[in-house]
Amino acid sequence: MKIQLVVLTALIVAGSMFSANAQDAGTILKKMDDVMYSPKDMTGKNRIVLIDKNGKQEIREATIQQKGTDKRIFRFTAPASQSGISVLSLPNDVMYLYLPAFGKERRIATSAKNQNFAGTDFSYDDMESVLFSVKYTPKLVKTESNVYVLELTPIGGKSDYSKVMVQVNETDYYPELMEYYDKGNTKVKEAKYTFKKIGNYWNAAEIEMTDLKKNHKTKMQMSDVKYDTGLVDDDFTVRKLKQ
Amino acid sequence: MNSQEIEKKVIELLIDKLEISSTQITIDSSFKDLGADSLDQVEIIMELEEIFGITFPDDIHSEDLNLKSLCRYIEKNT
Repeated sequence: MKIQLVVLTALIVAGSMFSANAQDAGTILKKMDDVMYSPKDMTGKNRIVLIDKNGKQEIREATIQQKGTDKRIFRFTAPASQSGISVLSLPNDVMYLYLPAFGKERRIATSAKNQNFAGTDFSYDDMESVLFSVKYTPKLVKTESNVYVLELTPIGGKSDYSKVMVQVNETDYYPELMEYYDKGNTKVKEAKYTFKKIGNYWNAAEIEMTDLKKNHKTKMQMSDVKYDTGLVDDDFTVRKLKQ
Repeated sequence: MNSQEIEKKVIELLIDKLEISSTQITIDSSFKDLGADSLDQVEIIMELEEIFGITFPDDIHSEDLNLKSLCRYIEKNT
């Protein structure tokens, strides 16, 4: 009887520890989302540096507009050959690519979202505007040198990644490093984040994404960032994409 | 247009868009094999829509799509 009681108590304690742990991971991820998506809206310029395995660099420029957590327009402004090419990310997994040379848009199918976007090391999936807490189930793996290490498992099986390991800053809850694993559990990409505070908000001033298979890097550097300028839903339509 | 004519037109477009030679293309070549990135793929699909007056489904542009499947789809829908 005594042994049964001890086992039962141990199970209850273990269970409550597990549930506290799971809740903590969820809270941490929610806080990271809050940091990344807290402004009502955001506009900015993006300098995109593509670096191949020999160190050869190619520069592209774009503008970004974002509203809330799930609406984003990314528009290339340079080089001239790519100027006007735009991506619109909307709620419910809806994404459009607009090509000015054809004067029309094309819906990006979910099945194509694992592909790299326009020669960068970011996939369409990486570019879409969706809360991490909506896309992934988190597990707190450990806490080390001022970061929480979370293991994120994709929800719904649509992702090409088996998991994403994220290091979240323990004080300010922005991501410092994300490591992406394929279905074979091999690390295939990593993103290093540099966050800077602008007014009340933390801004991802630079994201350096490395494709570890191709040994190719893309740096996205933000500038001229403005928050809460009053963007409206009508700014995020297919019609606007064409303007 | 018969299947050979369709294949010829698609190959011409691939050579032009991807700046490759005809020797690099086989009927089993996929977009990935030919080095077409996601933008190239959408451009090629949109151009084929204009050439053949058809509409491809949204999920047609996959990097695994090969010349054979592409030509077969065009033949069925023109």
